[in-house]
Amino acid sequence: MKKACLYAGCRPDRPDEAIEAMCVRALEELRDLAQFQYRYAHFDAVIAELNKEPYRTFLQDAPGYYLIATTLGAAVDRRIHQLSQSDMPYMVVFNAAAAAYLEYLADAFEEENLPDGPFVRFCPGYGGSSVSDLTVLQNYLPIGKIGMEVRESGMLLPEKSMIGIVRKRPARRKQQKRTDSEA
Amino acid sequence: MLELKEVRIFDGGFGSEIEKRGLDANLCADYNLLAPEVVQEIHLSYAKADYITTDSFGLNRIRYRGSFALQDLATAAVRNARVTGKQVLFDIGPTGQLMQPIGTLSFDEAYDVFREVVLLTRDDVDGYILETFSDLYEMKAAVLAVKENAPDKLLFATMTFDGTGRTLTGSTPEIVVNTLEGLGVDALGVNCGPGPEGLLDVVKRILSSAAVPVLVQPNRCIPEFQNGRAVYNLSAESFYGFMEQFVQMGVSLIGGCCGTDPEIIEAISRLKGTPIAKKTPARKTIVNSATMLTEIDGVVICGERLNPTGKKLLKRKLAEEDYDYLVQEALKQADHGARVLDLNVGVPKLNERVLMKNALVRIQEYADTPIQIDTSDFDAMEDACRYYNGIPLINSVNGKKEVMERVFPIAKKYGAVVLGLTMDEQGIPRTAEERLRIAERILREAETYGIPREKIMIDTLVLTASAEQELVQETLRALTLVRALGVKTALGVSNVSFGLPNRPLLNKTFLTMALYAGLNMPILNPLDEEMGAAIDAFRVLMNQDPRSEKYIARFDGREEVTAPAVKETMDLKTAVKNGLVSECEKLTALELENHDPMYVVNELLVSALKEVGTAYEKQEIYLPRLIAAAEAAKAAFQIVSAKFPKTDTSKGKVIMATVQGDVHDIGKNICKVVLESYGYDVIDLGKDTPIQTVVDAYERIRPLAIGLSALMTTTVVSMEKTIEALRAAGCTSAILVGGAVLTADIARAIGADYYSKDALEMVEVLEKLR
Repeated sequence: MKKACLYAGCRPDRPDEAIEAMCVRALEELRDLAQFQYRYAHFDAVIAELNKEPYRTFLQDAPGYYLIATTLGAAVDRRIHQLSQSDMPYMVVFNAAAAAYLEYLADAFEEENLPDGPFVRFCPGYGGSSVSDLTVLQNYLPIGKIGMEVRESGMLLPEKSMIGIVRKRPARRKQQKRTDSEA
Repeated sequence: MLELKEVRIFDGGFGSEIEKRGLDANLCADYNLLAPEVVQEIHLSYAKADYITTDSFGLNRIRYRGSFALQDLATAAVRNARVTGKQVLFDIGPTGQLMQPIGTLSFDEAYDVFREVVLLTRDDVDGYILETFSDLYEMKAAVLAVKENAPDKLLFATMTFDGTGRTLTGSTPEIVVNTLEGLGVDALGVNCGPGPEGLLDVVKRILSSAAVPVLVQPNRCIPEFQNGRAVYNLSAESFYGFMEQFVQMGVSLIGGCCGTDPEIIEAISRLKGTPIAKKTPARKTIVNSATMLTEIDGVVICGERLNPTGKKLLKRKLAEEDYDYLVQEALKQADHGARVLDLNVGVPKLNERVLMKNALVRIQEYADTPIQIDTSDFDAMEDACRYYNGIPLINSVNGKKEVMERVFPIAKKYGAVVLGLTMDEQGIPRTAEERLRIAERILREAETYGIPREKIMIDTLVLTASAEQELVQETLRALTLVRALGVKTALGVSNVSFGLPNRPLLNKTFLTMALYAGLNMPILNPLDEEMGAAIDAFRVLMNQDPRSEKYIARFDGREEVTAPAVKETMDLKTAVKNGLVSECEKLTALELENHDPMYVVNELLVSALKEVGTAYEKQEIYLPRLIAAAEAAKAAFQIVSAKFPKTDTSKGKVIMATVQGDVHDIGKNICKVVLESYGYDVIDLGKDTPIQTVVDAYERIRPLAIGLSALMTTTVVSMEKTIEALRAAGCTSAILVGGAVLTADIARAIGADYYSKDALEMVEVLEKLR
């Protein structure tokens, strides 16, 4: 909820009741609408496509790692599309809430399903990496089976989707955590 | 129609068998030529199956990335499957690209891709299986490609559902069944997905509504991936247990998808020959979009506001091809309870065929509510049925032989429900009995085309009480008579009151009488509160609204039944600043009674927007509130502009587009709303806009400015190329760019005239340009 408000542009020190109420409404709607899907693959060794910065640093000393793809599904994109015609202010909040919700579900999925957590996640497009790396990483995951597509530009469809690299959180390391590929 | 009495067996997974042999599953199709002996060996390992599926899942010109010719691979795939001596179905999977509007693949492109595959193989195969589709629209394109190019071949179609019981684009099992049966597939069902256990409910729902045989081919289970390899952990016997359950439920055809192997197919082949459990799905009158199903039963409102008869504004919007207006009208009607939307674009001198297709495609991008295609232009009717993502209602056929001969083939091909008007070559009969006879003729004729009774609705036609008062009762009597035929009914209710005073009173009274006489689908204005209230009241009195919940909900929270008056203390500026659209509309009308329109624009609307803009810049309010104010001002501005000739009010034309390759359009849409609230005429080219489209629009419109948006670093290149193309075309309009990855420096580097960080800054730039 806090993250949804933050993504909608609200400063934590200056809350806006109306926007908070819209966030609550959006998250309730998302719970029914979202079709959270995932695919992941575990790797013991660094694959060629990740053998470069900043991935090399991110994966330094990692005993293994996962590639993970998750999406909220096309219905969420469609709802955002619909709201852009019928209720633009709510669309802005809904869009922010959907981004936060995807992160929340991805975090929860990792915690509940992957052994040896806690984890840290890094998504191509952030931290000096190129979003176009997604075009090659997709080959390691059957993302078509969960209704995802990576365009030539590296753009993910549906838009509320994420492909990330997940590793066990290093003991002393600044957390790098990002989702949502809209870099 | 495929009629099966005993359970038949399909084969199992192919990619996983390829991997087992140490080969690369990504090259699956290539092995038809590279290692045909391996492909044949896998096919032969499924010898227990009745149907063998070719190794061609990804074999289409979009998905296939290898170096062989499609023709060679397709021919080899069939040849390799033929070694089994079994019935060979050519396997067609989805393109791997998402369809518009979520993605960029158009219906016609998808159709062409599948058509190519069918043309390459139709002489060699026994049939086709369309499988692992998750988008109903892409599936429709594939079904039509097979039906139109290989009409005598078997056609099986299966879609993938997730754990929530929907396809990945949000279609329910009932929607999938109604659509695919309507399109005439021989068998339908489900494949891939979350494993057999996760499909139990989906299969149950499919069986409860499907008349054709049902095919189930689940994944072995949800796989785990180890170093790029899929690992499946469910035993063959457990899989068999689930398949036995499916057969007991009434499934006719069983097989497997990812991770299933010869051991599993051998296990489930023990079910071969089991008599198929009888299923008797209720035959209902159903129309559906990809995401909403409307059963015509009880009382269902059909919205009439997308019909230009008597609507000057809609006629103008159609002439301007302002489809956003149509979309907004569609969404408004849906919000007010319409469960079907009538779409009529017939305006003299306009190209109805083009308008109908464009309007339908745009509306279905946004609105879930099923569409009633209202046209007498048969080409427009066929186009609309073709591009409709679901099963539409056709309005209309009548008792004229030549009309039935044109409409019924279209309805049959696309599975549409048809509204039959009780009129014929002699016009509208005077008596109810004569209208009943026409209804019976329509039903008989429909049957000869293989159109079942539940696909026909009857409209007994309302005549105006002012001209033919004595015939109003005949319409109602006819309703009762045709209901006895077992069909659902419709009426354009408000026709009754033309030419008389206090039309709402007559309409409401007639509606109630018609509902009592057996009307199912009144075609009316859903925004008319009184009509909606009359329907809710009818439902209470007919015991159709348990505990009167809907009726109570309609009036819940209202202090009084009459429309709320504008609060006396509220002024227009306050209403704008608070984003109160309906208050703004009312207050603008009040202000215009006492003030000059220019005063209202400059002193009230623009002044309010400036205050909101300042508050936003100081971070006293956030973006959603800024947009709400802009929306309210825009609504007010539209009311003011009705007082001016159109050219006098526009501050200038602005073309806006999200550049090619980028489908992120939220920022662009926000700018559009804010610009319109300031009085600019925005021509929105949409998202993923081809460079030439922008150039063409510039040459046609010569706008004050062109605004280009990009969110992705990778699409800034596309923005630069668009600017280059505009410059090459001699563009003299100012070019503004914006988007998350842009800065003033990047804007300069790619040749833009201005960078604006947000909508308000864009307004500032434009104000200086004027």
